[in-house]
Amino acid sequence: MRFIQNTSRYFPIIVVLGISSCFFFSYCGSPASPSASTVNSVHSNEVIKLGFIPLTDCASLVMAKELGLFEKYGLNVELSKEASWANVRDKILSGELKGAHCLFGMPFSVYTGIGGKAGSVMKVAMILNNNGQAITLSNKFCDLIGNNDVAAIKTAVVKLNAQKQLQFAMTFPGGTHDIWLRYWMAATGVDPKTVGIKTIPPPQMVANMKVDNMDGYCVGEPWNGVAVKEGIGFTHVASQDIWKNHPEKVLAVNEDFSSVKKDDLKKMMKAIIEASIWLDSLPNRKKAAEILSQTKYVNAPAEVIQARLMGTNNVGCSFGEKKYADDYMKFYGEGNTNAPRKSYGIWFLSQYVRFGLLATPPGDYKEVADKLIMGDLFKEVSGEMKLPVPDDDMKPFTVTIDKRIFDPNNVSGYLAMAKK
Amino acid sequence: MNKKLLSIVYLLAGFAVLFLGWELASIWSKRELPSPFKTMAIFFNMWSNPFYDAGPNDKGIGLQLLASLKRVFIGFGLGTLIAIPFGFLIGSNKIIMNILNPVIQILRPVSPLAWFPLGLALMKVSDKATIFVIVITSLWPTLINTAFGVSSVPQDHKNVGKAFGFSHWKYITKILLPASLPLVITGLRLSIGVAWLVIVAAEMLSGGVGIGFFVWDSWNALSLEKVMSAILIIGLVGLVLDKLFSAIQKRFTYAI
Repeated sequence: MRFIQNTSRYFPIIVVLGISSCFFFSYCGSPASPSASTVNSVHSNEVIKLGFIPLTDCASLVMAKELGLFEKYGLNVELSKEASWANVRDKILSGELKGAHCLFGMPFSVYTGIGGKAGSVMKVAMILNNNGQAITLSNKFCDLIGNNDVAAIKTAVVKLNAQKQLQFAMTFPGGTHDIWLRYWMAATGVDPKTVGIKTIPPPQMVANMKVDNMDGYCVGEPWNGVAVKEGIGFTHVASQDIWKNHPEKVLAVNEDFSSVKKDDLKKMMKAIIEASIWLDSLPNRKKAAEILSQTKYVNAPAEVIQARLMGTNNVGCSFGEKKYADDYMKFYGEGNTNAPRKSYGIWFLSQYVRFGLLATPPGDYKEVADKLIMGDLFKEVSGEMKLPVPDDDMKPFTVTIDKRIFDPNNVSGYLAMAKK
Repeated sequence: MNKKLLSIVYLLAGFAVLFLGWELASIWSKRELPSPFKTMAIFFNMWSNPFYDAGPNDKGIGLQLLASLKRVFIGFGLGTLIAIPFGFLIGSNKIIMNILNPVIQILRPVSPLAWFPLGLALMKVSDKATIFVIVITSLWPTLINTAFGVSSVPQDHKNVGKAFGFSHWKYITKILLPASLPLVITGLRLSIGVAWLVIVAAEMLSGGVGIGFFVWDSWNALSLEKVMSAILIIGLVGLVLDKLFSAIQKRFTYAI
């Protein structure tokens, strides 16, 4: 009798311990199973995890998966939606992700210690797209400046900043959006140090702009389209207005993976290039927008994604539509998009120095670019696919908004000229 | 019977108050905050097919919930395995208590969000880092309560043990354990509450499958209805966990 009483008394605790131990053992058991499957499948059928952030420009990874191109090259790729760019960084560095859709500036920002532990290496295998980001300004700028009215910016910012400290946002320190924002300010005569610039996730940008805590942000689509749809702001400039056909996202990969599994990486790049070619045929983009809009990918209305993917921006306020005929978001760009130029990496590094993100300039800019950018691998892949490779790795180029020429071989000269 | 009926009436009244306040807040925010009715429609829609599985980035709410519960129970289990022995050690030795007490008081109030980067640096894998965060934030209530329970065993009980010449083992099983058990279980109840509280924050940072990342992803999709539904679910599951432990607590609460 006493015994029965005791067991019934202990019953709930036994239940809890039972549940815990079940989970515990299933958890401890689970790391063993992937390694078992690696043994079974030495031939690259092992799951390769690639990360993405739900943005329109993750399209080439998504389409490579959806069109079965990874499979075609014998790869078993799983796409994994990530919570933030910092999350992507940590998972690439640890090898949990073999590669990811990533901001061009991020590997450089992480390596130089602006956005990560200095010296951490994320390799840049290829560029995924040009264009398709934007700077959104809140409605209070409507009457002061128009769409792409760059000349009026300075007066407007100074005027509003005097009333209340203006607050701007971007997505990762030293990432592309951070630099587009600062470059745009410098080009229009605004000192980036006089306004607030914060790193916050896109939904927080929208939420803060709604309640008038945020005055402008630079981010990828669909978030600029969302601001227009919600009627809280307008697209002041698209990133292609700042720098036509600028590099935007890259395929960043884990360092070990890039050397140990080089063949898998090459196959992966081939699949992504094929998807990029498919995406650059505009009639395909309607289908792409529909697929991207699914819950498992961008999780946003297809029409918001589609319009801007096709190069038609509904600008917001009363500015109507703006069409981008030859500089909408590009994934292949007739062979000009994907080659990872070292000059671009050096340009980002020099912007870090220019805007004071880096206190001491890197000793040798080219050395950093050589370390992070896998230009030779890209040439190898293109050669095998019999595709042309642009020959402009270290050639000077011009940035659109201020017509300034950047020569990667003469950074100190550039920095002396650029407005501090 | 009458009492049961009454408790149901109270429950309904509680929900009526909640929904009324919610609806008012929704009207006040000009429908920025979704109304309860719109949310409930989404809520039931989510539960109409809770176990669908469309790949790693799109799973039914039931699967997400199970993934989170799994992490919580592993984290809580590991935390308990650490907290109870340490609690006994600290509670039974004044010197150890004096040494460790300041450390515990410093580590206890640290937010789960602050632990996550450390967990990731230690564990390398984000899923394990999430569990690390649960372990390290949820073990404190159990540890402190165990230590307190052990240190407050009445002197009379100890004397009885001495008078009858109990062995160490017998002292532990017959006097120390039964006397401190109610407090240990109070600690466990608090700990499981903390573990469930922490999972949402940790999963928002780590990504992957789970109710926390579901909240984050829904917010990314600007679907506040889904965020609200997830809040309801998180609350209900928290309630069930607490009820489970309060049932255990009732069994072991007896006058000493």
